[in-house]
Amino acid sequence: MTAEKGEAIKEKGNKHFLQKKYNDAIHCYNQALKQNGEKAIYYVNRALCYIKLKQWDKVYQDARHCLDLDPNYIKAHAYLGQYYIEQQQYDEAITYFKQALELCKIQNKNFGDEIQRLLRYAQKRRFSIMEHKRIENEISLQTYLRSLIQTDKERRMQLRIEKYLEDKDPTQSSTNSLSILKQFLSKIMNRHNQQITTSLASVVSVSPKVATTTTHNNEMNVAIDQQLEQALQDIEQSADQSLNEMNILFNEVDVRRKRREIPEYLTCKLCYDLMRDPVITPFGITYCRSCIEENLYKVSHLDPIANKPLVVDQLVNNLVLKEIVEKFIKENEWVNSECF
Amino acid sequence: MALNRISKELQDLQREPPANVSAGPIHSSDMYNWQATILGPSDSPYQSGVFFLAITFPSDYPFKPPHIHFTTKIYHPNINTNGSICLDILRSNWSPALTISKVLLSICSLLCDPNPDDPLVPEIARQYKHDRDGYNATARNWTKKYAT
Repeated sequence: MTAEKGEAIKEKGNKHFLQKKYNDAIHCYNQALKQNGEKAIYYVNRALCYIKLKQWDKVYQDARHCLDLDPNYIKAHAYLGQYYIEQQQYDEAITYFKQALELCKIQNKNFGDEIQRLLRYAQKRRFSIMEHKRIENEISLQTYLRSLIQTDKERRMQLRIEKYLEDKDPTQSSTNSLSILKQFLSKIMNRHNQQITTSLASVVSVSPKVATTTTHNNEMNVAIDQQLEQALQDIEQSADQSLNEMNILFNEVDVRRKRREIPEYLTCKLCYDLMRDPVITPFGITYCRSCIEENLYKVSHLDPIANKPLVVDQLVNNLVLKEIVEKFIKENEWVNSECF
Repeated sequence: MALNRISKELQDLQREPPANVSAGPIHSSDMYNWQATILGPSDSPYQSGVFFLAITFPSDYPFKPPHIHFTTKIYHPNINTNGSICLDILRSNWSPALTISKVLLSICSLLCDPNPDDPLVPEIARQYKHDRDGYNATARNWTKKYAT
């Protein structure tokens, strides 16, 4: 008798839910719980109300509670997945959606594309976060390597200068080598700046007087042996070359990663997209199931490429290709981020 | 789905442009409306003409054929004054395996070889059958007047 009453209260709650009176619905499910005790469906229905109200902590509690009562409750898995999307914990979300889909298969239930869509959304978010992190890591690695090359260059120059001074006059102190190094580096800097000023000057046709005076000043206080200067310039050049090569390498990797192409043999000849559910016709041609079925319903009862009569019953799952496509998706997560 | 396929067709067209035809969206924000050009084939009275066409993709493309019509006036048995084209692959014989590129090339070959037995403008078809020189002259004349 009381059990029936509890069910009636739940039905009332469902009505409230359909009218979007979520708080009233929650009230009814609470009463049903009091009346009938622990029942997974009351918790899962209440969880959905909390999703609508965006009270995520309560969604988590109810969905968890429901799974404690019935570990195979599909909706509870899906709601937990939604909770984790909200918490931006996409790995957990993906696990729950995958479990939900697995249970759908086992229990032979169909919730349309909704779970599939949520799963792809979580995968898309996870991919973009990982991608972002990866790019950040690469940039900091590149910066770090650049600074290493720079310090190594200066260290080599200093050693070279010290050796030069030692050869010339063994009593000279190493402080002198540092000042020569500084002088040389500032000279290079000046040369760079001067090039910029003169090229600017030629563009805007400003008198190059300023530029010439600065070089003049420079030549005054720089007194480095020609042989040493040549050696230092060689070091400078080799460091520049290393920097260049490193930048080229990083660029190449970047370009290769940006070249996101799906090989043609994995794409459907009708939608030009990756064949996630490939079927083969008796004529050996493979299409997406949904594409070829739509063609048979809307266009003609023909295989559009073979141009021969075809009916739905003749379509056979192309399992090998499906495995290849799944492997491709695993190795190229970006395909999930581009599918909608 | 339609959008993905249309963008990929555009990519292919840009990567390997077919001879004598070109096509692309009028505004980059609207992939469903394209403009195309066809250069008059050299072995036809349309030689040295540049013909413009408007292409509209249906939302369930490629399961419905694209709508294509000439916006440049042309004297042809299978093309009327509105620019409508009578071509089987644009109607009953459409197949989703066809592409805009293939359709434009078919229109090119229709310019070379009109089909007077399935005419859209019967008078031109009759002239094409019985007074080829007269047809050639008028077609050349229109090409000069409207397409150059």
